[in-house]
Amino acid sequence: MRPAALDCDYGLEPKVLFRLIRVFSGYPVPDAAKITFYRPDFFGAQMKELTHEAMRNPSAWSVGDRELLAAYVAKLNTCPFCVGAHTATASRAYQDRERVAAALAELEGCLPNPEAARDPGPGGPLLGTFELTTRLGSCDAPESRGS
Amino acid sequence: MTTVGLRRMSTDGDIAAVKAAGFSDDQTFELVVCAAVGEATRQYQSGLAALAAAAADLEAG
Repeated sequence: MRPAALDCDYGLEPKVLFRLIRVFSGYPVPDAAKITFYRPDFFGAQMKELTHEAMRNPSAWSVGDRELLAAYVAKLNTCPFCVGAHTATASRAYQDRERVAAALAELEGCLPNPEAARDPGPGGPLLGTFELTTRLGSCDAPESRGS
Repeated sequence: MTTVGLRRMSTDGDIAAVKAAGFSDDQTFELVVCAAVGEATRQYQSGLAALAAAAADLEAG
């Protein structure tokens, strides 16, 4: 269930953009992306800025690393749209779709207790992402680092 | 109103309860954003704690 306003209360510019995306991609704009255009002063503008800083600005972690971490976190958060988007972007950054898929599967398979990995306390899910990042160190492509 | 506790997503039931309590769409949107930011902050802090613990283990190592 979504508030009805999220389906229709957008300015002219976002509406045109949504229509163009639909025409050129053949798909409607995903709800998770659409919501960043709803009252952007309250959420979307800051979220886009934060996301860009975290995912694309210079970092010790490459863009591929960060996208892979995001895919893993999205998996734990049960967000299929985010899993798909971050997995696809990580695959592109690493230029190795199979290795990304294998890394995500391996991490899942290595967890002694998947429910424990969903534990929200310290040492829970993000410790897993730390381990995943460590394992993928050799997968790091210099050209995929942010600039 | 109840909170979502440690669940990681808002459910249809949560939204229905908010609407039944008389909140507008905009207020509902604000509540969901605040819940999401709160959960993201909790995950971020858990991650920092996990990284600190892992770094301490490596140093002790």
